[in-house]
Amino acid sequence: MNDTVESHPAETAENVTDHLKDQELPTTIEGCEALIGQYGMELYNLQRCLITETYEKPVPSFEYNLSTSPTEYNYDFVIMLSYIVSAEHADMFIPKNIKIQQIIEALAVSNVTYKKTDEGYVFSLPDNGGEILIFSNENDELCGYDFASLNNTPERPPSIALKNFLTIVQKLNIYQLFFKQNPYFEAEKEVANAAKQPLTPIPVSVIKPDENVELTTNDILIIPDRHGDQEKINRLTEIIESGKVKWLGIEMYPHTLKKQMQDYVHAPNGSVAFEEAKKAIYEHLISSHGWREKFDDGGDISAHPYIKILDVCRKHNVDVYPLDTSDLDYFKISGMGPNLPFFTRNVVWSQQIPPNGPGVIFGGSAHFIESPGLNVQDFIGRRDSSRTFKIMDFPPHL
Amino acid sequence: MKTSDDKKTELKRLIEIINLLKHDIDRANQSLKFIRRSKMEFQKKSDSKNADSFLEANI
Repeated sequence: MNDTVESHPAETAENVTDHLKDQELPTTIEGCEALIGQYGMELYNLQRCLITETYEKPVPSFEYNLSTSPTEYNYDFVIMLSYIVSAEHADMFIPKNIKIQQIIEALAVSNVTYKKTDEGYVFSLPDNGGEILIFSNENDELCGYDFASLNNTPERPPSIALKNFLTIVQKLNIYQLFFKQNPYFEAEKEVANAAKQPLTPIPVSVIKPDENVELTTNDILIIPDRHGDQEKINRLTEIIESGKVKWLGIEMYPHTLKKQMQDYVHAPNGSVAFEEAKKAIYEHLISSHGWREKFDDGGDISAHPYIKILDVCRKHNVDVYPLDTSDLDYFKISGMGPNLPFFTRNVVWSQQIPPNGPGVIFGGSAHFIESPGLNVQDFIGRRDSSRTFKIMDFPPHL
Repeated sequence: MKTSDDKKTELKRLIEIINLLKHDIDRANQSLKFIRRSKMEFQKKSDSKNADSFLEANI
């Protein structure tokens, strides 16, 4: 048994339900947010314990690494959460608009039977292979499942029901009915393929922050960010104002905002295109769970440095390419890296870069220095060997 | 600026999330207790030579 499990508060708390009941509900938004953070961490730890206990090995958890194979459907994470699927988690892992009837018909081929109960639909796997509780919403669509509560004998623990269920899903090839598709499967494969080769980093010239920057058409200047550091934003602003770059690639916005970003930079003042782009970009920053909080904008989103930098690009007619993955959930899974989703983001960034420049990329330093051979510039350079790179080296360390 | 109504709506939404989390934590804890109990019972029943790995025995 592992130390994490032994030391978990659930071991000492006699009854977690009572512990939750005793907690008074906050009366302020800030208090609620703090409590959500506390409960979120508690739940996360419990989920890790559950999987560790069930499989008796370290939790795969969010520690995806390069030995993890790309999967078209991220069911490893569903497995992690399969005991506890709530409305909050369902959006992360469960596909939308799947009718229970579709599931019934698909599973019937493998002699899976079902009955409707007050709690949901109970599906019985053949040969006494276990039961799955599937929850449905008001439209009779899949909104959650549970492998644990109905499989509670020592002879048939949840892990067996889960394994049997996955065997049927694999045999029938119906992953799409239960698991959300991985939007970055192809990019993950590119990482996996790259990692199989000798990791040869693309050469990068290092320049000092105060050095006069001269860039050719093929040059890409990298400004490695430490998120929330105004100095980096200031230097980026100076570079753009100098007129030496044609485009900016920026981490803080998803690539799906590409059109809006072009409209924000180039559409006339007051035009519908500009106003709609502004709305979409502001909304992203407000709802991005973290980016806005890197700086204090005093409650005025238009004064936020990540917006102001776009305004500078607009003023100087510099194209902006949003770089990051669109799926916030994928971003969460990527954690702090280095791991498969983290490097996959590097691939996605590299795919957004225009064919010529000169340009500047602004993003977290880890994406450029963390793993030679799998950094952003490595994927760009492999695709186009004519590109050359310069990185700004901020003292004392990136 | 957020209006008083906006704040009330936001507060209500956050309380709902808290309640969902409480539900999930409670459920996770029950599952954890169940799994631990199951394993103990399983290990009592099994021959010690064959009980060295719950994983191998059950999957």
